[in-house]
Amino acid sequence: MSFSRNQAPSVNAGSMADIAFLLLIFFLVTTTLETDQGISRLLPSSDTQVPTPKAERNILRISLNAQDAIMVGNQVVTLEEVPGLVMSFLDNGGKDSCSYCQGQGLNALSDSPKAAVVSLSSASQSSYAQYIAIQDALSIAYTELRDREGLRLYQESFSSMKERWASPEVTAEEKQQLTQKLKQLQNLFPQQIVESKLDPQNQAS
Amino acid sequence: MKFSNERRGMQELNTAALPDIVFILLFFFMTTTTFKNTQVQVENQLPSAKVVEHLERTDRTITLLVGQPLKGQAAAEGELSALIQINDRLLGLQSLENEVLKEINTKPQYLRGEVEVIVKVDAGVRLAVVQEIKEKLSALSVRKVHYVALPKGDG
Repeated sequence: MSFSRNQAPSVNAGSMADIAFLLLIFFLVTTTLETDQGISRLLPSSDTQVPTPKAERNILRISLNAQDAIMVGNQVVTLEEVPGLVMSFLDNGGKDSCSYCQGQGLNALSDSPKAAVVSLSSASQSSYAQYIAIQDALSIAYTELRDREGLRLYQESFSSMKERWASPEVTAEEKQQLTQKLKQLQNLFPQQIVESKLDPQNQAS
Repeated sequence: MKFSNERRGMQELNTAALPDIVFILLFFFMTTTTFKNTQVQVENQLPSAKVVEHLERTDRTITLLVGQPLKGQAAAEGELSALIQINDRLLGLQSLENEVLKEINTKPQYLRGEVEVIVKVDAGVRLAVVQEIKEKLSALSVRKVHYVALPKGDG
């Protein structure tokens, strides 16, 4: 019988180490520790400042009431309408100072994206989910406009540049270029959002 | 050559123990790696948003979880009925400033000026709580806030 042999056949285990190393390296490379995705915002600084006087046309007032209803200007709107309204407000191009704007140049809307301020006032009883939905709608509006300008100036949309910027493959030189382009686009449509609490007294009227 | 003559009689190197060494390394790293895994003690169902971005730097962040406590501790009354969790501590709104300051002090000196706060707020929380948190953070001149939201596909 083969069991009774003096010498057991030896298995060549030399390549086992290679296999184990390969596994180890594979998992090392493919494991990514996911960071949380979300919406980044800058809070106002705490030192009290006198509000700078702005022409009313340069302010888009968005309010969120306790029943989660949204009002833009003085119209009640649905959530889906918000990005479009914000975009037409930002992109209005009321003065010739904004050469890249494609809006209709209405008198009621902003002079230029740089002057435009979105004012978001929200009631304390409204839900956080709706608040994030509005913040998201604002992000959508800004991103879409920046995408458009990115395609026009650099033949690449803002979001894809941003994605490339964050990817690990990008070289240092490329990254620097991208940073500049991104800054440029952000300057064309700067995110100027003012947040406040909705005063219950005003709400009644 | 003398050199090759010596070689010829040399025994093959036994590599059978090499896999064991590698496996021991593997197990060592497997067992010593700890993920920062704090138990969530508040309700935390995140809202979703279409345009979400990753944070670039994660070495300067403080994470706040906000929501109704899951068990035990009763929430404060009134509209501010949510608790905040930092690491493993549950706290009310009134002690938030102190705790955030403590967290900032655990960061290295050069990062303390540029701390960013990740807020994970339950979708059902009233906005009053968030407004309060925002005010307190900006009073501490912590100005970068990252509202965590789940990515939502188009449509």
